[in-house]
Amino acid sequence: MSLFKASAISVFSLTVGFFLYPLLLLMYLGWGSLASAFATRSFLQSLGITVAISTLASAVAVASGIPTAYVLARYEFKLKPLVDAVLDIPIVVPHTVVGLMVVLAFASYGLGPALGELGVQIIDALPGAVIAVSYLSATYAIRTIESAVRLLDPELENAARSLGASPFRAFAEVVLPSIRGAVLDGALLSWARSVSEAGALLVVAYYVILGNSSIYPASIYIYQAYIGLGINEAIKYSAALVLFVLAAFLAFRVAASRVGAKRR
Amino acid sequence: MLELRDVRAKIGEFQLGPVDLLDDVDYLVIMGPNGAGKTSLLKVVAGLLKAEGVVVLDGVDISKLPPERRNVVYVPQSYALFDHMTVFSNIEFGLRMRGVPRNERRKTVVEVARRLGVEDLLSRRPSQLSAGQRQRVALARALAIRPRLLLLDEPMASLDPDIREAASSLLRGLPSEYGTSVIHVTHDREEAYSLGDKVAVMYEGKIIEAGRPEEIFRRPRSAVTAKMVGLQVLRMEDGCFGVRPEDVVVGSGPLKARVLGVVRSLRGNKALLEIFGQQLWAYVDGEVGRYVDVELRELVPLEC
Amino acid sequence: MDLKGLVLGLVIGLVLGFGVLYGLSRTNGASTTTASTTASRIFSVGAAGTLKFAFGKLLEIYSQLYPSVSVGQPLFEGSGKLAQDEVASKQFSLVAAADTATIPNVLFKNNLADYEIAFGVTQMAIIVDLNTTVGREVYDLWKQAQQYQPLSVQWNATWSEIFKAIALSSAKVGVSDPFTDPSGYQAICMIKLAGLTFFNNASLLYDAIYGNPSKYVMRTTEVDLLSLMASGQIDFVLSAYLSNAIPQVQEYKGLAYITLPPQVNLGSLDYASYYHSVNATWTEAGRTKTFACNPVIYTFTVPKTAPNPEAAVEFALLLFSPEGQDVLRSYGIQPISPGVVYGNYSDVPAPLKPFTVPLSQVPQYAPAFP
Repeated sequence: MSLFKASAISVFSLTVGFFLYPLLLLMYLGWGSLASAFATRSFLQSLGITVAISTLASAVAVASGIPTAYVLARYEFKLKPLVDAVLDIPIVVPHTVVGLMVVLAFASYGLGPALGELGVQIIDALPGAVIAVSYLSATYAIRTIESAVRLLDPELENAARSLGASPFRAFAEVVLPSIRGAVLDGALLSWARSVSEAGALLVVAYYVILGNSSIYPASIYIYQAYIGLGINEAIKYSAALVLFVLAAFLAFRVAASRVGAKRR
Repeated sequence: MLELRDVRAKIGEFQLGPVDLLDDVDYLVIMGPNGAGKTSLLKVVAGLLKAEGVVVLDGVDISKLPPERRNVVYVPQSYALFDHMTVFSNIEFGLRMRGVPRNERRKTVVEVARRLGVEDLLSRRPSQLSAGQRQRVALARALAIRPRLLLLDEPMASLDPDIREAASSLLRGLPSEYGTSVIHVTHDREEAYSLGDKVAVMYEGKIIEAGRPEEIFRRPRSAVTAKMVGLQVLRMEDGCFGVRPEDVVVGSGPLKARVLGVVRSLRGNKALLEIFGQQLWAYVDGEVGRYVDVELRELVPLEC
Repeated sequence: MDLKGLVLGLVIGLVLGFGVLYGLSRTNGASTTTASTTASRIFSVGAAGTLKFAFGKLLEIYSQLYPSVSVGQPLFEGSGKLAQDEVASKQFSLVAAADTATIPNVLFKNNLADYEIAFGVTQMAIIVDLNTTVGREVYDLWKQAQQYQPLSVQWNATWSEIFKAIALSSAKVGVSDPFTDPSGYQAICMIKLAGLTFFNNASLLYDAIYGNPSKYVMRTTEVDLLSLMASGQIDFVLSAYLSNAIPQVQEYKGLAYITLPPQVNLGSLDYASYYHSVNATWTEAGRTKTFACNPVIYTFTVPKTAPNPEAAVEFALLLFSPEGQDVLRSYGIQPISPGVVYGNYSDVPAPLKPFTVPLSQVPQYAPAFP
């Protein structure tokens, strides 16, 4: 084996090891108590609310992300570098700050009172949690879709137009199906980003009030277990969350390739 | 019949036009070097690029119509086949956009595919096709909607040499077989000469000359056209002249030239000569550095 | 991206980052570097987050008194986390906690200390948003209550009104999470004691607040609650210590705090056994925990591994000096003097013995210790 290949492969193995080692250790330590974690009603509720928040946020990210990504990839305009920087803000700014921004913008000032009159709850409520998490995760969907649109031959739309498609139809029939993979990836990325969110939720929605009960998002549930009950309880729920997320990822990929198989 | 009047467009730094052009033939070839604005001009005709001026098709001003209502089909150089659809759905696309009923669509698709020899490919994906097959699918997709005008951007660019002739004859037959006029854009002079009823030469955003191919190739008017049709241009005191390599006769004659270099070509060795301080190719063998006698036959006077 | 640019960017980032750190460490140490020969061992204090203001002031005075000692950056964080950090790093010369259990539970167990000195007690207070009608109302009632004789009829009636306005209304209250912050369960204790004292029913106010998720807003610490209060989301913060409320209300416009009677404020050692008549239970992360209601006592120890134990003793002497006691009082901490030693009295540094007594000599305080 050449020196180059050997060095590349060893760095590769180290990197993979770096990612796998803590994960495997967590699973090893938590394996025995997985059953008890999944038998805990409040933890299942917390998984449920986390999935609900993340899925809604992911839907928001994709619905708003597709047109945004299209504009970024296809049109040139004056303040584009500025817009680009603004879209990266959620990645740069600490998430607690984003949480505070959401409270100020959607609960206290500006839109806040109007939303309140419409009965849209922000603090410790589903809409607030979804807004906060969407703010943080939409960028991932936008960037993923944007690079797919960039790679797409603009002549596809031109051809479609001159064959008789209106701009909307050309978009729906040609652009959208061509970037389908990236849309799914973007949805998954922003979903994953939402599941892992803690910082902004600590401020906006420490828990979500549903009916007469407070349900804590999984990240906060685990934080409480860690501080309040000690590391063993935290390991138990962390391992369960990791397992759950991996399963959800796999299921999504399989489902996506099933649907994809129809077109390939 | 297509007529362009004072068409101009600005694409970034590039200025297209003003272009005035009368296309009164079945098969028009627009020839020009890369960056001349040929593709942009096609897009203006297709309505895909905003432009000033007037585009008249069969007496109707279509300048303000969106692309989907012009009945003009643009086939890009990449062919832009829809990879997420089968060949069948690709060909069917235009009919579907026009709201043609399903049964009729199927009939038309099969018919067009049969005539273009792609009926066996209907269930394939474009990514599984060869370049020649892709070209024919792109044509089938365009022809299925019976357009008034077909715009082909470098349709032969991605074809291997061995299928170019077959493709040429296919393209040449489109007007008579399908009742559509064709505008074909290319940088290849052979393609232009063999296909065009009329050839328009484009350079730096403008049409600088147009006419029957024999005229353009025999007696180009401008130095730019001359170079494009394969003439060598000499600048002399009394103006510019064009001369073909085969019209540079070496061995006798009133002029002296020095041999700068020799290369092999299919028609025998070719020598680069220096004459009047300019360089000229001739079909001749020679020793580098030697002086030879030269006669120039058939000088074509040019505007330069 | 061009690789050269990437490398250049990384280098610039590292240089900038470490450059700023180096620059700051130089300016920070400027006053002490001259005397570094006498005391190169750094004196660092780790203390409960709620001691930040009082200890910050005391350290300022200390630096003026002992300019030759190099004082490290103090660390203020949750008592539990702080004790764990000390076990891992052994960096502190003095560790102070916000309850009597943390130092024995963590530092005694790890053999880093065998005594703790209780030096002060703070009390629960309620932070009020004066920008709201209900906040204004409660604040005015509280001012009235100050004029009545404690335990008089009017006094009782006014305090009942105050707690009705807070708990039995549509006002929003903010509380800390009992699992992540002691002030969370201490707020439960306070509310139950208020119910018991003024309504003769420990669960009346508690149920009205904690039984109704849309009545309260819970966050990890009271600091998070203050920012929510400043943005108009809550009317009262129940998980507040007087020691923090005093400086905190100065930071935000329109906030004030109200002090509470000793029967409910967890701030009096004399009421320790009355506090024990209630306790706080809370269920979270799949578990239910029960917390005993105790006075909010601050304790400190000098760990056996202290890098600079002499400086720690000097600091403790400052703490017990009249000036130090005034500082504690000004930040809402009632000094315990002499300090009460829990654990091995004989290991208390000799200079501190005149200011302390073993717990065995003050058995009435025993309920407040583990």
